[in-house]
Amino acid sequence: MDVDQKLMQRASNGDSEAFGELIRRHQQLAWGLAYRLLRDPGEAEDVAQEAFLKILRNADSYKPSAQFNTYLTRVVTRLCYDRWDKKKPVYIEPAKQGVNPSCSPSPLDGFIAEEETKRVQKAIDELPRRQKTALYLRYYEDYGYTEIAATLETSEKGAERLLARGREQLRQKLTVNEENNSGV
Amino acid sequence: MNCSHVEDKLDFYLDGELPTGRINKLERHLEDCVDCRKLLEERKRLNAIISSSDPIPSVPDRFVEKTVTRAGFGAARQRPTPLFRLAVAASLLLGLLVGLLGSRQLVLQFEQEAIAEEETMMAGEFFGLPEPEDDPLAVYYFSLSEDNNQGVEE
Repeated sequence: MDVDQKLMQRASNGDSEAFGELIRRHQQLAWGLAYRLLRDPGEAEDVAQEAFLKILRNADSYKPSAQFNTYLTRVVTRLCYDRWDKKKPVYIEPAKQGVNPSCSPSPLDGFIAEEETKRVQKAIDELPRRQKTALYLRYYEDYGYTEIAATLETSEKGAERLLARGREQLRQKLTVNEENNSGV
Repeated sequence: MNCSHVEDKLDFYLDGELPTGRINKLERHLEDCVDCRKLLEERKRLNAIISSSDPIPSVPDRFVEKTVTRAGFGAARQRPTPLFRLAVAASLLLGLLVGLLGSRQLVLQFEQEAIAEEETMMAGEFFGLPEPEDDPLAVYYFSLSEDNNQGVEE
């Protein structure tokens, strides 16, 4: 039994400290994915909290067939899709927090980098949601195909196809944008 | 492995998901093919752009505390241990037994009282009335009767 399973067991028996520790260990993952999928800090916080509460409510029936990370990611993804079905996400400016200043050696370079960041983020946000989720998990959470498949409840081949289609669309979008920007 | 195969497999290669046997073939092809090496560099660049393109804010303040509070931990959230559950079940059973015995005792008591009352009523038709000597009205009535009787005898 790994650390997360032990914490889950204690939390399900009413141990609030164990539940807090479980959240502390995985809050970045839950919050980050919810934020990327919804692009609304308030909604993302609510979803991330709801994911942990849902996991706690179902702790008795939790069967660790996969890593806790994957389980949490699946719950967050489902909750985001539910919200998504009710409300289309609104594109907002990329967050400035967490950007390493050393990546921007000059104001002009910083501006170009920021523009490129916005462009890529917008292009990803416009992808179909499962392709987008697969790309987020691959690029930002370093998930392998097996974990992506488990999260999105598909086969590994299905995960491969989602990533391949997402990347292809992304390349096309970015290429079109580059051509438009250069006046071609 | 031709260029078309390599193009299809480049993302798997960069993701570290390509089987070892195929990695060797792909790398041999890349050594010999300038176009595929160029494509590989483009893919690497795109991956780098995507990876660095989406910084997210740090987790909201007091996220852990707020979530734990929302979970409603405390007396209501505490889940009883198996021993505690057994103790509660035993207490309930005991309470039920005591209740049953108590109600049986009460029924018996009612029955005894009812029998006693019935016996008393059967003992005299005027059950519940005071004895004549304790009732001033009765005493007066009997004194009148005695006076009348005396008059008749005289």
